Amino acid sequence: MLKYISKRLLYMIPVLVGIVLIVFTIMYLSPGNPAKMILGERAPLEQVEQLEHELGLDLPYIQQFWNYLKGLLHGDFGTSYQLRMPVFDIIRRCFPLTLKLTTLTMLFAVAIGMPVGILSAVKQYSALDACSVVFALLMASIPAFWLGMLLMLLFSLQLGWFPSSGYEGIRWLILPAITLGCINCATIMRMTRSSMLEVIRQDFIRTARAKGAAEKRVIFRHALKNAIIPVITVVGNAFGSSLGGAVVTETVFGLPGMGTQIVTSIRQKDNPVVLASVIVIAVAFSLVNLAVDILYTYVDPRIRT
Amino acid sequence: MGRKNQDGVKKRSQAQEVWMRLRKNRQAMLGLAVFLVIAAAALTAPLYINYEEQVVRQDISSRLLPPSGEHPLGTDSLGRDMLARLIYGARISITIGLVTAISALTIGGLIGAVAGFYGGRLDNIIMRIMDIFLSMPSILLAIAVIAALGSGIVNIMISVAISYIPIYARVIRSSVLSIRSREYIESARAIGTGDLRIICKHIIPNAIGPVIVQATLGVGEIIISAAGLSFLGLGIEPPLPEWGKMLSEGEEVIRTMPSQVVYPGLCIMITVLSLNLLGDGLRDALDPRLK
Repeated sequence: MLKYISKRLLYMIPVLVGIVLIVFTIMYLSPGNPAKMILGERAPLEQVEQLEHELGLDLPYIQQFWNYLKGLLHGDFGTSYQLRMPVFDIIRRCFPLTLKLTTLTMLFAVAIGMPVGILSAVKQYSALDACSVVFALLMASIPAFWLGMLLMLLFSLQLGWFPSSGYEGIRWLILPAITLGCINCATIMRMTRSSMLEVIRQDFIRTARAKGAAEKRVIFRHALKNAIIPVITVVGNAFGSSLGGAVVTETVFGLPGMGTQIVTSIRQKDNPVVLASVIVIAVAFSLVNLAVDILYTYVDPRIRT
Repeated sequence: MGRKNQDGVKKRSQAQEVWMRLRKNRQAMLGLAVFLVIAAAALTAPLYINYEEQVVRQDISSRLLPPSGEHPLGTDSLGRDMLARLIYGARISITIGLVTAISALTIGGLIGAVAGFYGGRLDNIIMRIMDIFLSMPSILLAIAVIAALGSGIVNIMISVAISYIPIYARVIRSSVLSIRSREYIESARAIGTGDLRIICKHIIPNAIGPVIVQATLGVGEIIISAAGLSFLGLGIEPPLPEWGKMLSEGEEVIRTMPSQVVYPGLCIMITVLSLNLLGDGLRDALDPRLK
């Protein structure tokens, strides 16, 4: 087991370096001169060159990348062009909120998606099943940011149950989490349902029933245990997509998280912040995927090789 | 199964079979019909809408008007006709969806087909690179690319396409992998058929099923992603009436005129829903065992 985990951890290293390389290259290729951006368009050439030298922007591409990578390992994410503060501090301020939102989203999505998925598989063609299929279809067709606006219209502007924007506490996260949760719970629901349906039709379930096992036991011990693997995959992916979706949803609800920060930084051409934010979210997603892979081995010992 | 592909006649009959099954699927037909109506309305828009007058020209004196005979859905915050802008928005969104999906599919398809067909070390290298792309949430990758490219409708398409290439590459690779070892490929090789011919004549036609499904569903997802980017202000420049952009403009008056955010979102939802219905139907039609 430990061997498996350490192998997976080792495998993550090239992926992480690859992520940094890709995002770094994308940002490197973006037009515009950062030194000019900081000093203003009319700054004298010597000053610009001086600053470029200080920031290491006059070095060859490979050298710049290597320096950036070395910095990352020391927890140095560079300095924001606009805010003139370490990018690390900006991320430390924004990331917890995004993580909270994503966690809340996933709790909501799993708590609704899995039970409803199981129920609609067990009671296929029932009213509940039909509703869940329609709901899943609708949610797959709705942009999260629009759903957010509609919920905001109804629950904060009309009914006044929740605050509509800003962040002062957990209450400010409920509507955004429901928004993202609904979208993600649809995929979880769909996958749980189809995976359960596939398993329920198999022989060993008939055997379990034939030997007189209680229905509850058949569903949870026999069927669910075998149906859960693809569901875990989908949950892992949903975690990633809600990390990404948070970027857009945060903007709707004016939450000062990573998403809002990324969008602001892109508008201000604050490349170090964009670069680091994308990397941090990608790393978080990779860690979730790692956790998912480790979880597989608990659920299905056959994978542990 | 395998032999069907050897002559054109039988292959066409397979497509006909799929169409027959698809026609029996009422949801899929509904999706197809709705999508065709939207596409037709969008395609013929220049015939009945004056772009300069109704879609672009701002008129502050008639801003945020309620629905009337002249403006069936009212006007937006710059006094432009809502309905005309929505219809022109369909042109933009559907174009973005189709062009992006097709280009991502072509590039991703080639990458996936090469990886799956040749296997071995090349496959390993290509797929590890795809893994790196896949370990970023796709909207985030698109955001990073558009941050570098700057806004613009073509840049939206490029950035979203880049985030979809690895997804398609993976689907097609696994599809090709399952076909590569079939007997008819072996026999084609035995009679001395070249790699390119095998890929184009045998592998692609047989691997295309799941790909078509993915692409249909993909167009919908891409429309949503692109709308998200322009909602964030990263894509479309005004005065282009893109639905996501219209949503972000409507957001400013959400308290006083909620209809400004309801209509564009509804358009996105109906379009994407129709594509999803069609895609689900296609999946069932291509693989009857799933039903």
